[in-house]
Amino acid sequence: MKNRKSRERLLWMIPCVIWGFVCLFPIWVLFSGTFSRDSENLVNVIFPSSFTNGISKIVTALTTIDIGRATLDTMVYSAFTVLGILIISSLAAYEFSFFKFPGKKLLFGLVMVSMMLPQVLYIIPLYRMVYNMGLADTLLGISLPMMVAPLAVFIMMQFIEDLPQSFIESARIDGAGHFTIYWKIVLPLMRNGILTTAVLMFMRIWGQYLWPSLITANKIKPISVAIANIISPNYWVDSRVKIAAMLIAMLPPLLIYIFFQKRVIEGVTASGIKE
Amino acid sequence: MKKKEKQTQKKPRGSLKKEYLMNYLGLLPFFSLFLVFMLYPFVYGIAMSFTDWSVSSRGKVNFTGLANYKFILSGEGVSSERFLTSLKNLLIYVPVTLLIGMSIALMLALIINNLGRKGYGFFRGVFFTPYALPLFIGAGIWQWFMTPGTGRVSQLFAKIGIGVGVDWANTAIYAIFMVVLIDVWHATGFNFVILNAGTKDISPDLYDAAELDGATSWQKMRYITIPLLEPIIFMVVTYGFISALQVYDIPYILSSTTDANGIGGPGQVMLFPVMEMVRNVYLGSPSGLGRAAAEGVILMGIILLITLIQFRFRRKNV
Repeated sequence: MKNRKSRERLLWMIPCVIWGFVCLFPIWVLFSGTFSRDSENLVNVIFPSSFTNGISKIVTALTTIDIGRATLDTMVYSAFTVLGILIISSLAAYEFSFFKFPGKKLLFGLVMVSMMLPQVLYIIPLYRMVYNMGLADTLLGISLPMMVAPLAVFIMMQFIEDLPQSFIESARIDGAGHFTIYWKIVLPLMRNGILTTAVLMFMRIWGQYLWPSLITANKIKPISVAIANIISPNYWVDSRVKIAAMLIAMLPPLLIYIFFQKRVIEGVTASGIKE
Repeated sequence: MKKKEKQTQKKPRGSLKKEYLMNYLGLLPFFSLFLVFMLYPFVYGIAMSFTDWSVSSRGKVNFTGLANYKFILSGEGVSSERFLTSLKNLLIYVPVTLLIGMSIALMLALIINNLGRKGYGFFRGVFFTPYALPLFIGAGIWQWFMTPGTGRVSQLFAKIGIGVGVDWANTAIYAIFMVVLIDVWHATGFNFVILNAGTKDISPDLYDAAELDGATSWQKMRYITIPLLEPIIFMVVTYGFISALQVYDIPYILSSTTDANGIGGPGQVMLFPVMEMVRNVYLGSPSGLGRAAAEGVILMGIILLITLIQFRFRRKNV
């Protein structure tokens, strides 16, 4: 019996190894391609062979084709947007989770509906509107629309659910005000939900392409737009520099994922499954 | 609603109102941004699809009725032909990517439960990785892999007789499959995680009982897991439809040129509706924005229709 089970397990392992290879190999070759000697045929590179050449390609990508600047710009607007999302959404989640008030059902329904609202339906008018407000190519212009993240409200609510209502009541008896309770009691208890939301939202915003490409011009350079430019056939640059650029653009979300892997998967599950 | 609350609650009215006020105040930041940056442009877009709105119309637009819709669906003129082509491409892309992507995700979600604890944790993390990366990275890597003649994966395909000597990104049908390939590589991680989480909600008692009856892993999957997973499969598929219909990043990046008319590649082999909307914006032609808005409304109609059909279909089956 036991023998059969372990043999079966080995059999199930095969498809997992194959798909795992499909998942990771493309990421791996960005590393090994960047850190390979120029004399090697890039098409066949599997293992890294030159650390110094890789570093020089990375430096070239950072300094000569705007990748350094794009990384910085994207860091700034992603961080700013995530900060906004955290404040706005945690407040909304706080109100929805702990209180009853007239119109609550309707408002919460709106949040749910907006989660399903396809971006394409309003992105063109949104672009014209932000443009007419004079906010095109500004930090506010790119970030404010992305701060509307119903998904973040939803994820935070999943995490708040575990907090007991009695916390709020006892705090109120002690005379704490509405927003004091939020700030001093609920927010610290929501640490997990906030961190998970922050990680998920950062990864998401880092990868955005359509909106940043519409709303930016010269002042802000999104990393997605920078990468899209250099991989277009009209753009000529050393192939290893190209690959190094992709490696740089991939690193922030990849590192975050590696550090917070459990949390990321947990958050994605919470956002999808509870419906 | 407000009246009812007032009648049923017997607390002093003043303090009650003040309390609610605090709730609304807490919701204000979210809903004001929602109103300005989502709901308003949404409604505005629908309204403007009936006008000659363009990049150059400075607040002055004329009502043109259904003219934009008639034009883009007429099949006459470049913009209309392109939009219809993008819909045709979508008609191939969506079912293919969903069928392949969902099958792989479902298989992985079931298979991985048969591994030991360590194997489970490891492979779950690995399978999700592509989804953790931006789509534009996926597009870049796979463009490199599919380079005609020398690409690692295009060569591999050529060895088994698929697409020998074909420039995938610029050849009809192949271009769509290239988008499928990248999308499946990327999105499977997400679908897999959701589906696998669904399998965890199934009571272990069922499996224990089946095991006593001598059921194999395969039988347990086939007769317990898949039927009980149906609601989650339905949800993932619905979500997959909505995002597949809006495909943009991969094909846009892979077929981008400096010329707006080049969007979608030669012969528009990689053209999809959202790309066509964006082209209408960049082109700046008369009624251009109105047309883009109309295309958005049509796409929304398709999304809504498919979602409704799915829900109808499901109700009949349950």
